[in-house]
Amino acid sequence: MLTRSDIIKFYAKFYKVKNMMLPFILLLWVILSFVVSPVNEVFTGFIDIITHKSILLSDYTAIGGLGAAFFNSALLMIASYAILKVLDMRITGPIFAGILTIGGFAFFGKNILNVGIIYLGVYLYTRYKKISLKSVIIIMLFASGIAPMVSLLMFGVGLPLYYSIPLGIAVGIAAGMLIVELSVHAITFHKGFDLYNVGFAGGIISIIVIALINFSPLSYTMDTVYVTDYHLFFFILFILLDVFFMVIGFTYNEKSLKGYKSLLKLSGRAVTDFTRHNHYAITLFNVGLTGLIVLTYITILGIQISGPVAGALMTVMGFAAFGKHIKNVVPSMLGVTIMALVLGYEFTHIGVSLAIIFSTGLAPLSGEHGPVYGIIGGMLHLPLVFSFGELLGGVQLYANGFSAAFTAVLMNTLISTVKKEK
Amino acid sequence: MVLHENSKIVKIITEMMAFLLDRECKEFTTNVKVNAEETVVVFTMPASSKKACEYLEKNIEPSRLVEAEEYGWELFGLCDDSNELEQVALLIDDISVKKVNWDNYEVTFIRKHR
Repeated sequence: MLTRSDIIKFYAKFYKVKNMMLPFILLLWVILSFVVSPVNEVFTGFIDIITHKSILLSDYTAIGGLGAAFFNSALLMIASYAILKVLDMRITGPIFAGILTIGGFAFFGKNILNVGIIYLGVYLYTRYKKISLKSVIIIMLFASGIAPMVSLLMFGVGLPLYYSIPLGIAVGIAAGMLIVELSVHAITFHKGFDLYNVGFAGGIISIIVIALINFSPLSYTMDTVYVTDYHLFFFILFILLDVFFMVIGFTYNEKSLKGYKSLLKLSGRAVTDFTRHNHYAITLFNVGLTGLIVLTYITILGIQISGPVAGALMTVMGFAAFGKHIKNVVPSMLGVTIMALVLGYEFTHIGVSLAIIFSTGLAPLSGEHGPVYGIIGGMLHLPLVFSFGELLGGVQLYANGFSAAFTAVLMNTLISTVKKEK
Repeated sequence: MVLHENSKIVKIITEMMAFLLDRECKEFTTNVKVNAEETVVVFTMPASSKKACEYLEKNIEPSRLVEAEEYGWELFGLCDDSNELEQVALLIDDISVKKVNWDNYEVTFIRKHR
């Protein structure tokens, strides 16, 4: 029989600040799933989601409905969180970023089926190498960006299911096994200035898979499916979430902003874990404030929140514990905005909207070298991400992360060229 | 067991060497001892390196996280502008700085095998 003190202890453990309020988000997501849609619609929508080819751009709020999309997001975050707890791991900055990125992309491309197979590939790699899963857990969380290749091969290339399902599983496992080694070395390409490093590594694998599909008799079509019907709902939800994080962070930080000035001095270049040295509370505050700044920015531009935009906002919040803060995210967004104006693109074009938000992956550029370089980086990012889209064939969800690596390389070269030797 | 163990030990050594050379420490020796439980890297340098040693003692706080080190260890040392030695703190379990033989300094890094 549970006593009152047991319940209080459980409550304290559940909501403790060192969990970065993740249990709260998971619970909220589960509740929202069944509040916004009837139970039967949630489950039928969920089946539609996991049997969809899921390549860019597949807005799960359009494919399965809002409740099913939230349920899918909740399920993936719960599964990932459970793995972390089984491994007895702390919720550090990179892990928080990983979980929120999974939850975010579960609105457009990741589901328990395709991510589960990539996870299995990473797990088998650790068994083969006889290393602990703990040591590669960050890579595993981010590796799920290539999960759509599993769904595409299973449900999108027109093969009978008895061929396509084993093919999808085999390719997904192989990709999961390869991505660990690749991402460890790929990070040196952009020197940590692209926060979405696994996006770059995953992009390389995706290009190869797409080349093989194009070379084979298999074929598929790329569609752009998204709806902005739930804009107001998402808008209110994100405002409340951001304010909640700020209030919790402020309160646990002895009702002060102690340490925030120091946090803002960090460039954000990988690997910058804001929670290091027990700075959990002020990191939570940064999560809320950075999320709010980006939300305000896109609102000013008139961008409507669809499933993918909601996912991108969650990713920004996640990375606000792993490199992004209010000082380093704005310049790159400004750069993309300027470039969109120059090229005559509408901000509401979904590709531009996502590029604006995901360009914050280049935050370390302005953090390390100043806002001017951040703006130039953002300007370069937009044409690059549009060009790489076709090459990646839609199976790499972190298309912006892939492009950002090239922008970072170019900017690093430019900065080294301009800079005079000491 | 973790991946790339030897490469990570080399990374600690090269980063420390770069740090000392940047701070005009012109003379130092390195001693590495690997046993079943841990790797011990000892740098010995003359009294002229006092400032560098004091900086290490004050600024390097070991905070090893096995998952973070695998994600980013290749990065350490790649950027000229950042203080990469502070990132090396992610690769070590302990550091000690002490004065030995009257005028020498000894900096010891310990990395446990997990």
